Amino acid sequence: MTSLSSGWLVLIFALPVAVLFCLSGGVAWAGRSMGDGVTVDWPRRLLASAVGLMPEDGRGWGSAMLAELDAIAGRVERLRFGAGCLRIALFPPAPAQGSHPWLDAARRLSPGCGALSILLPVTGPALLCIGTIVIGGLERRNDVHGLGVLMETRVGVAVIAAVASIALGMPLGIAGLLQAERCRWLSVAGSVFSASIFPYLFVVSLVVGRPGAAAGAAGLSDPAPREPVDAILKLFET
Amino acid sequence: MKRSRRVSPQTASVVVALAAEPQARRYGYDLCQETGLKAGTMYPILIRLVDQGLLETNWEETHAPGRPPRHLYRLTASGLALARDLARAAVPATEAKPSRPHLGLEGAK
Repeated sequence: MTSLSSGWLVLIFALPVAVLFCLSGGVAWAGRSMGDGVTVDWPRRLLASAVGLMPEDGRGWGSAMLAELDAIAGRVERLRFGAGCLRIALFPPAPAQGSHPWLDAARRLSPGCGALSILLPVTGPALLCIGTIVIGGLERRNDVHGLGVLMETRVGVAVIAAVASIALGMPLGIAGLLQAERCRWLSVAGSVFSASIFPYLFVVSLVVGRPGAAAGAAGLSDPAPREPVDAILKLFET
Repeated sequence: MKRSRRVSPQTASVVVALAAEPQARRYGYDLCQETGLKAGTMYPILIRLVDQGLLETNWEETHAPGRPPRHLYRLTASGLALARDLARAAVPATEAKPSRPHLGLEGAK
């Protein structure tokens, strides 16, 4: 059975993630540099980032916590106070029971929408990549080809979970935008990443499936042309 | 105000601290120091008290240059009534152990 080497698998899955982080980090850094230029220490920086993820109606409290932190002297005390506030900013207390429990639940979820829209699509391919490498290693160690029925079922479930986590990035990103989260770039980056990872894998599969240098460089022992879907499946074969 | 509401010892300690000087506006960090509560406990209490109309907030008008204005807290009339109820119930909030979630008075939720 043909296979891609572990190094190439890692490269294929890590490339879009690296691009995502570089772009997101660059945008975030540029935005911070263009901001008010207030000197920040770590407690404040962490808390300010978390406050940026809070829903709009909770940001007043986030600003209050930041202002309170600014008034505290002493490194240890600032760390303690900042840590407590960070927890509240990330996990705000449940609002009073309203007449719309679904809306209340959505509001509680909203702080993480932008962050989750990036986290889930990144985690999915990473887990797939790690799982593929581990299974390949197990097969090589046991000198077997193909997976058992039980393992195939597990792999199938893992693939479905990974695909779902990638696909969830889009609705989560849109939810983050609808919730008008302050760090909109998180939602935008998550949506774009989620939407582009499947076309990316498709293009990669075309490149890998093509005979010649690319296939040879990818370590394929079977240089014959393959259908794209078959080539995608080959990505996950070891 | 719902008088059937039960109040946690931590919430009671915050209300009592604020009721000690009903007209004074207090900072959140000062309340933390006075009650011994951590910020992670204090702010949910403050948020819920505000949601329930027991506490009023405003931003300080004069503040140190280079620093953002801080939040100030003061009990509303309903909050003061709750404080009186707590005093009447003679529940010694300061004796309450934090590990005991409720004193027969439960979370302000």
